[in-house]
Amino acid sequence: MYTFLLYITGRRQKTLDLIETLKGFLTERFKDQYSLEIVDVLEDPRRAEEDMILATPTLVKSAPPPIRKIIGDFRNSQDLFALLNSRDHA
Amino acid sequence: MEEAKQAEFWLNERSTMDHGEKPRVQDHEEFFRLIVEHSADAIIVVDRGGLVRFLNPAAEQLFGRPAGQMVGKSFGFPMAFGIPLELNILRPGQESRVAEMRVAEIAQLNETLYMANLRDITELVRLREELRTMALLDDLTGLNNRRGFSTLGQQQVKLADRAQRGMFLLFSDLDNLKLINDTFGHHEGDQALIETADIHRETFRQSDIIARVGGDEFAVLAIESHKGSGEILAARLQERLRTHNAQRNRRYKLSISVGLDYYDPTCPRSIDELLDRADRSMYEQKQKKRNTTITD
Repeated sequence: MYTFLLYITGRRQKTLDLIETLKGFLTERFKDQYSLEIVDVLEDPRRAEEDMILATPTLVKSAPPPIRKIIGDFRNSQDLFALLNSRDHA
Repeated sequence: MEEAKQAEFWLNERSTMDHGEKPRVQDHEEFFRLIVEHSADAIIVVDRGGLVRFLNPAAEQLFGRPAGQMVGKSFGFPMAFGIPLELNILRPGQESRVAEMRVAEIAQLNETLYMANLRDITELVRLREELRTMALLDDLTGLNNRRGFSTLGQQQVKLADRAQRGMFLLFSDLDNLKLINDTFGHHEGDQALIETADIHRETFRQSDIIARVGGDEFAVLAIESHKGSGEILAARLQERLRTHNAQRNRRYKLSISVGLDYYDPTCPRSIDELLDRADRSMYEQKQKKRNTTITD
C-alpha cells in the first residue's frame, strides 16, 4: 500500500486542479493500492513545520520506504512516476 | 548559465587589459561566489536526494531560515524542468511568500546536482489578483460581473459534470428600472440596483455564484440544487423581495421577474447556453406579468 501526503496552501481552483491531476495519476499507476492525505497548511501550519515542509505544493511518499519528497509540478506523469520509484530521493 | 559566460568574458577582458595575463582559477571562483551571494534571486542547490547542499543569502531571506537550518536537510526534489512554477514559501512565524521557481541540472564532477532559482513574486501576485478581482466584479453592486459569472460558472459546470450533480440557473430582471431612473433620477436607479443585489445576496448561499450580468439583469447559479428546487428558489427570492418592500417610507416597490433553467449533467451545456435559456424563461414571465410597480 502506497501512502502519499500532499501539502497545499488554500484551495483555489489551481490547487483543486492539481489535486484532480494527481489523483488521476495515482489511480492510474497504483489503482486502489494507495492513500492520499491532503494537508492544507493554512488549516494546519504546525503539521507542515513538524514535517519540515518548506514550500507548497509538496508531495511526500511516506510508504513504502524510502520516503520521497517532491516539490513543484506533477503534470508530467512519466517524470513523477520515475521520481517516486527512484531510490535516490529522500 | 548566461551570467557565468558574461562573467568569464568580463574577467578575461579585464585581466588581459590590466595585466596581460589569464585570470587565475580562484579569481573566477571568488567572482562567481560574489555573483551568487549578491543575487536578488534565491538559489538553492540540492542533490538527487532532494537534500540542500547550498543556498545563497537571498534564499535564507526568502525562507526566513539561516543556512545552518537548511543545509543537509530535505528540501525535496524540485520538479519544474523547463517551465517556471509558482510555489508558496512557508516561513516560520511569518507570512508565506510566493516565488517562481526554475530548475536547472548541473553536472558537477561525478554527480548531478539541481539548482532551483526562486524569484519572489509576492507583490506581483497580489497585483495580479487585484486586477483579476477588478476585472471580474461589478463596481456598483460588488457582485460578479458577466465575465466573472462566466469564469466561475464554467468551473462549476466542470465540477457538476464530474460529480454528476445538477444545478439551477436563476435569471432575474429588475422591472421598471428606466421608470425609476426617469422618475427619481439615476442615483435612485443605482440605489435600486444595489438593493436588488443585496436581496439576492440575502436569499442565496455564499457558495452560490451571484452576478449582475447586465444593466438590470442578475443571474444566480445555485450550486447543488436538485431538480425540484427551482420553483422554491424563485419563491424564496420573491418572498425576500416582499419583506424588503414592506419596509416603511419606501417611495416605490421593487419588482423582479425571474426565469429558470436546470443544468442536467447528463445533457451538458455551456454556461452561456444556460444563461440564454434562463433569460428567455424570464422574458416569458415578464410578458405575462406586465405589472406596474412604481407607486408614488
